[in-house]
Amino acid sequence: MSSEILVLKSALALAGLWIFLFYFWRDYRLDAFREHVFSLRDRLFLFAAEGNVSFEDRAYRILRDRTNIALRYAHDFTLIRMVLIMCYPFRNQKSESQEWMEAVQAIESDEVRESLLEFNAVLSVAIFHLIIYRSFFRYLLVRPIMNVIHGDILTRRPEVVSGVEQLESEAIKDARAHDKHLVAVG
Amino acid sequence: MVPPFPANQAQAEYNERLAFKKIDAVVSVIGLGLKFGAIVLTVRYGYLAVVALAGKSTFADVGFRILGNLKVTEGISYIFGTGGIVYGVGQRQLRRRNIERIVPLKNELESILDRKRTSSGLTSKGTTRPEDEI
Repeated sequence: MSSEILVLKSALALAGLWIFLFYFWRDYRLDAFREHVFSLRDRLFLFAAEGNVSFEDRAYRILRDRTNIALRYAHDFTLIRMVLIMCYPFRNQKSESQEWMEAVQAIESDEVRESLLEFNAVLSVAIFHLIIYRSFFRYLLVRPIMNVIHGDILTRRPEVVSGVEQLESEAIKDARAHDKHLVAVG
Repeated sequence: MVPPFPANQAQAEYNERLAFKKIDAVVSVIGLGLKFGAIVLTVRYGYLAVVALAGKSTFADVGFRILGNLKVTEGISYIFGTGGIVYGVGQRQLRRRNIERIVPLKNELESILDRKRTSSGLTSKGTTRPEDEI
């Protein structure tokens, strides 16, 4: 009799753990990511409001749209998808990051250019963190190391940056396919 | 190599994306299968335990046995865990209500400065839109 009770208790505990891992934890990581990116977008807005860059500037608009798309499609940013995108032999895709780099290079001020590139790097690191921390076990494994490692190390790794950018590009294309234009104020 | 015409390029891009989406869909389905397979298996074992107890004892009896077997430290752990979940869910609801209250005004003020202001397209509470989750 007691073994049945033990099985029942274990099943209940496992079901609770399942709810925590696949619902609460993922939801929490998604919210934490969105909070981080919203604050980044606010800083970018203030940067433009202070007159450093025009709201009409192409690089500003691209970066703003990228943060919006990262916010909207954050639930699609998974490790499996990133690995799949990195391994898939794409040959005919236009690079979204190339358009961004051209727009940034067109900015005359070195300081503004550097700042926008930094905003973009922070966004990429945030996406990478989301992908890693979505799994509770990966979080336990990687989070202590991340306290020691600076974000710069990640952005200097071309494979990480390229993986995240490809993932972002896919989300941008999905967004375009869904509604052609981003929603105006709302 | 001669670069393809724009129309061919668009078609090639479309075909490639379609092929990728098919693989992505298969991988996603496998992932979902593993995820929900785990909970189905757990529920199955719970169910089998209940079936094994059926006829031998009532539900109230099973409940008393589970509670009766609890040690004080275990009981405290359960209360701690449940309390943590209730606290977390409560905090989340408060935060989402706060977002719903504060954000519209901020957006309105921002659009005075930036007339072409674009939005994230999330819900008013800052969560994923149901149609995007599909």
